[in-house]
Amino acid sequence: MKKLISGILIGAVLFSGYMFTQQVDTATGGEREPSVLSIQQSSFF
Amino acid sequence: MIEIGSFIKLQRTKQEMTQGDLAKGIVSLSYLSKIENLKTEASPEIIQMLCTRLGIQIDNSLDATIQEKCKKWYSMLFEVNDKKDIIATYNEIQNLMDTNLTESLLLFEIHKIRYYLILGDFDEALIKINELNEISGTFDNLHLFYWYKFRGNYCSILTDFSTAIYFYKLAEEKLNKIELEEHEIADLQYTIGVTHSKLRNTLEAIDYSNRALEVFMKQYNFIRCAQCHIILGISYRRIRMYDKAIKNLNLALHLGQLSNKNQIILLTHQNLGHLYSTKGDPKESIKHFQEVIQDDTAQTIDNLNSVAALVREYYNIQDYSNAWKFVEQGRELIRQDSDREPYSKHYYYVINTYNYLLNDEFEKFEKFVIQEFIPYLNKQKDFATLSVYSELLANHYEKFGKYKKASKYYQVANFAYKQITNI
Repeated sequence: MKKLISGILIGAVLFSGYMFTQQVDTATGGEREPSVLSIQQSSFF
Repeated sequence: MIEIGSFIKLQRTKQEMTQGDLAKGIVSLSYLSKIENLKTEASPEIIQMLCTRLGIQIDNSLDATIQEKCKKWYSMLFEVNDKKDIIATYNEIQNLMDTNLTESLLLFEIHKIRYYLILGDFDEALIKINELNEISGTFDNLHLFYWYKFRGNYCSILTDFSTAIYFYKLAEEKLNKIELEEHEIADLQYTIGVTHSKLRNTLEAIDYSNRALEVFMKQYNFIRCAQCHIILGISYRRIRMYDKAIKNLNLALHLGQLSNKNQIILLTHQNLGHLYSTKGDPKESIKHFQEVIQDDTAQTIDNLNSVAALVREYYNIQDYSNAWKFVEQGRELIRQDSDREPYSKHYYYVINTYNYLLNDEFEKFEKFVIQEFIPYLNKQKDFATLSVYSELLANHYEKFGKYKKASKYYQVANFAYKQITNI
């Protein structure tokens, strides 16, 4: 029981710290910049 | 004026001739070495003999013609052009270069790095970089500008953005020592803007993109303006200035439609989809990703990116049947992608992760994310995605009351955020 409570507490502390930093950005892999080569190759090549 | 020693060295190595082959009966090996490394100035007679052996005329009567052709070709490397035209012009210039001593040679050789990158021949680009590296000590400021810029381009393509920005900054330092047209400066600023965006240096990305945008606007270059607006859209989203982000992305969309450039339109839809996803508007997000997958001209990368995003969106709103549908579509796309592009791997992990979750195969899900996906993201230094999937795993453990494991992966997510935000 003691172990479970301390587990929950650690989780809560970490989660709140995590939520705090999460305010900065919630990025996922869907973002895409255009190419530095500028030419969009495959549509033309 | 081109240094004759560099020219001789370049032509000799191009013809795969050893110093011994070239020097034989003309000069000693050590003297040729001195000529090539600009340690001595040889007599015109010796230069003549060496050039004759290399099959080159010392005649600069065609210099102006070559220069003009080069200028045309260089501009082709920066705008939208047909591959065949770029290659044809390249071959034409190369033939002239092989038989004439011209001042344009070094600049032409340096531009070949960009040429190979555009053709997607990255190995050849690296060979050219290594070849030119040996004579880079003789480059003037203009040569150095392009040398640094294209080396940066090479690093960008290899996704080594920190080294890329190092080279772009070196190129930028040359700007006040050379005379360049405005759009050339703007192209470097755009390139630096994109690279800062990749490195998540948001304020720098905004600053450089705005500077480039100003020039492209003056020149009514809609495609380049749209690219700058996309970077601005991404950057403003990252600092949660959603109105500005939406405004910029809508402008990019409008300019893409105006110039009939599907690549721009599709890229903008993906970024708008992502924006609405992070803004907590799944309906609008799904609408934009759907636009991409319904477009026949979309490339595999566009489709994979959108399908993976749709899986995530539908899963998050608990519309599991649609999430399933797109998992299947994603798996099919990965199967079809026979070339096994490096980016496919990323989507393979995303699709498989959701596949296990949707199948309630939790053990497989945990094992896959811990043993394969997270190590892959760490290796790629893709901290943005790492934060998302370690959070997904932590949430999963929390849901099943496994608090110790949950806290471990919240900690991983926290670490990933710190990497992104440089706390």
